[in-house]
Amino acid sequence: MKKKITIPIIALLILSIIASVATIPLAKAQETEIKVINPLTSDGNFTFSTATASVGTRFNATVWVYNVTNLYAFQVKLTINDTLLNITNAWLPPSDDPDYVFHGLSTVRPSPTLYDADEDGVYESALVGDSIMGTGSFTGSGLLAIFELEIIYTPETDKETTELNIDNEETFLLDSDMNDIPAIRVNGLYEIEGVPIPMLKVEPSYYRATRVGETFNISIVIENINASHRMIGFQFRLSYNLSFVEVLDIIEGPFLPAFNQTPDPPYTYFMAYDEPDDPYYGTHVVVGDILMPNATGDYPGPFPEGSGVIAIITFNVTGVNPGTFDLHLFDTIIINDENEEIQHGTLDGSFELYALTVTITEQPSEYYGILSVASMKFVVQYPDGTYYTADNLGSITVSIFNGTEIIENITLTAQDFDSVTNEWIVEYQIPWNTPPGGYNFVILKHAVIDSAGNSGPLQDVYSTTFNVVEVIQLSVEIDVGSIYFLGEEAEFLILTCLDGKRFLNDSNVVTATLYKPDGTTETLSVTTVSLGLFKTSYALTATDPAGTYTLLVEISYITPEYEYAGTAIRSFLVSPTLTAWDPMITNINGTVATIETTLHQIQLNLTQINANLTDLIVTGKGEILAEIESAVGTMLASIDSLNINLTDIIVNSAGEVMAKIEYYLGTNGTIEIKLDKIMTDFSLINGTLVEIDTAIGDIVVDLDDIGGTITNINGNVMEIQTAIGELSESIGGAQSAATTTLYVTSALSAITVVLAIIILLLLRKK
Amino acid sequence: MKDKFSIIIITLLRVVGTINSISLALYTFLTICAIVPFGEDLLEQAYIGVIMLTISALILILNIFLESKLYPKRGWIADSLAATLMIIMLIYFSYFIRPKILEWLMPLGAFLPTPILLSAITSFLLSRKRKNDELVSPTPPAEEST
Repeated sequence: MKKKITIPIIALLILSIIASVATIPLAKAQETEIKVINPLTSDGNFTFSTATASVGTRFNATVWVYNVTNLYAFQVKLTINDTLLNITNAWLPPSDDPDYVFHGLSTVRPSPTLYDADEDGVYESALVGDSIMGTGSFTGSGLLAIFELEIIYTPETDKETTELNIDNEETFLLDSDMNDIPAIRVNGLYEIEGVPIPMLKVEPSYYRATRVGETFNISIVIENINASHRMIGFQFRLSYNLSFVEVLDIIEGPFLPAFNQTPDPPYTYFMAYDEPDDPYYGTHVVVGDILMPNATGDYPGPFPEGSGVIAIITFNVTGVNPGTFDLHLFDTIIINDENEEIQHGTLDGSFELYALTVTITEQPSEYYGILSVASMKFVVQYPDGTYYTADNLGSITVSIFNGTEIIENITLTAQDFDSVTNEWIVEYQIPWNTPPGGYNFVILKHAVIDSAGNSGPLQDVYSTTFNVVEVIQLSVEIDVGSIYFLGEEAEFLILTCLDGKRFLNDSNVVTATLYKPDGTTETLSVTTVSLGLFKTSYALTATDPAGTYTLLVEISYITPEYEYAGTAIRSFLVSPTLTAWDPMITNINGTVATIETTLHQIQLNLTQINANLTDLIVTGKGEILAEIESAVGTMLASIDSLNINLTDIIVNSAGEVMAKIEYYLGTNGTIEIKLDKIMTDFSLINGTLVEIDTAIGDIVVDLDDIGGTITNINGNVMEIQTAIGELSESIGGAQSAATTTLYVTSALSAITVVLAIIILLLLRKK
Repeated sequence: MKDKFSIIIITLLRVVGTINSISLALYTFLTICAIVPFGEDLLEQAYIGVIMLTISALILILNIFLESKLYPKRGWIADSLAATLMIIMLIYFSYFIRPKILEWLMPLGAFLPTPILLSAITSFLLSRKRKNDELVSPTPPAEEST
């Protein structure tokens, strides 16, 4: 084969030598030339493709001189584009190289110089030169210098070109007289073309499985292979995850056998092994395939070209939990007919087992009686953790399993979803004819489907077993009052009996539900009083509706053998007002007021009824009562039963003296009433301080606060006018003595004057 | 002999008047001091009253001791001045000041200045009689006896 190729090459070389010799006289007539020559092609073109060359590939470029006369010295400077190429070396041809222009002559042979002017670590130019020492010169054509270049960039698809430039002033020829020899400088041309490299890839690149037992094929495809690659075989390993899938089969793809090198099968030698427990590579499959050579052991072609499937692997889904793994191609080899590896790339695939998962969050109770409601809560989640909500609802079916078969299917609706907890609630009212025994809620695999068609779980999900037991009837009685009032703490007693005897002491089995007139319900807390006797209560608030309330009590006490059950109902009236029953508060303890009515004594929470003291009124008997307005009407209260304090005396803008009273009726409040309603006495106690005595306590105020002014002085008594009345107060002390003295001196003066006049008149007569 | 007896009465009236002035001043001052804490701003008036009544008392005291020496013929004028001061104070504290601290004493209080007024009248009459007596017998009695 090789001999056949060499004959034409030799012929071409001979012809080219003859042609070049024939053209020498013509060239002499032409000018001297300096050219960059590709030593492989003998022309100025340096053409590469990424199929044969890559980053790091090195090649030589030679510089020749043609038709020179009397050459004594030369210099060549080569400049290249340093984003594509790097000058890795430069040198003068050996002295004994017959092509060298100074072959056999004594020359200087200076060392070549490489330049990296932009300091990017890549040499973009190089300088090579030589000169004869002594006499002699060169005439003719010959080799000047050799440069080694390295490819540092390869395009993926496009073509990149650059000149190997010697056309500069630093490339010159000198004759023996050191004169410049005119010459044409011809650059070389470098080209590199990006061609896609062969690829081994997984198809489909992503596969989503949704069910256990689902089988699917993964193809390994080769792309961008061309005949010049002379591909004859490949090998690859493909990793997978045994937690999700198992390998069922591996078969050869149609691509490689289509390029058979033999006329008769077998065209290829195909090997494939599943290695689920490989300790070195992990779980994977390994596949190899090679074209069979012809009878002489050669590969005559045609060689594989284009793209095609080289292997098909069939998987079976075995995983029960959602998840993903990569179908990773590794240890891949593509070889040519010379057993050389063909450079190529790989593209992995991925697998996802996609299913909704179901997790039971609240198991059913252990025992249920017939006709009671068994329930279970569960959440449904997508593989990313988000919850399957009512908005995603396609269908959810929960089955009832009796240990041997499904006896009923329950289809959930959007109303069965709790948007707060993201839980789905399934309830099953156990039919009256259900045989006692153990039962389960079951969510069968793929019984949960969302609106997009995704389903789950991947396997059946069972609840814990709940047992259905027989029911024994209890008698239940409720004791309630006939009427209650808003704000009142309504108390109810519940009595449970079995066969006439009090039975049960666990309040947890008693459910008390209060139905209000507005249709709302309230579940009441039940406490045990004694065996079979329970108590519950409800604090009626001012916002509760008036009307008929109904209390429903249900008891369900379940043992492994029986359910003891009973139900009772009672109604009572809630009145919005107390007014018709002459309410009188007799005592207040904290926020709870004890109120006497014409019906009975009741207790109301003052906070609930928004009680406020509005006035103090004086009865016909002179008794002072507090008037209290509340949500249940107006009530009276003895001021002794109230927690009220006289805190200040103020004069309002109308000049009225008001008593400021603080009180506590569930909440703190203040009220201002006229002082004269409650004042019993007042007196000056110390200096200008006045003590005011009232029915609800005494208070000391300054005379100024009640507008006190002295209106008159009567001896040692001063009269003070105030807003609440007049005060007469003895001044006392020395002033009293002075008063007496003044009174006496006045009287004595009168007597003295009379006597003096009499005496003077008598003297006058004498 | 009649004049001597009159002078004794005048002196007695002046003593009573002095006591009246002091009593009046004392009462006025103590009363005003007692009611000042009740917001009555009367202290300045109390001081003025006390000063005027004290002056009145001092005039009377001086008049008692100086009657027959420095101003034997002008005693009634001092008495009148003292009486006037007392009357002014009496009227002011009875009817003009608020509260009226002396109104309660009327009409008995009106006798407080009367001893002084009577003293002034008597003193005036006595001085007139002495003047007439001097005009009727210009020779001093002592020369007659010699």
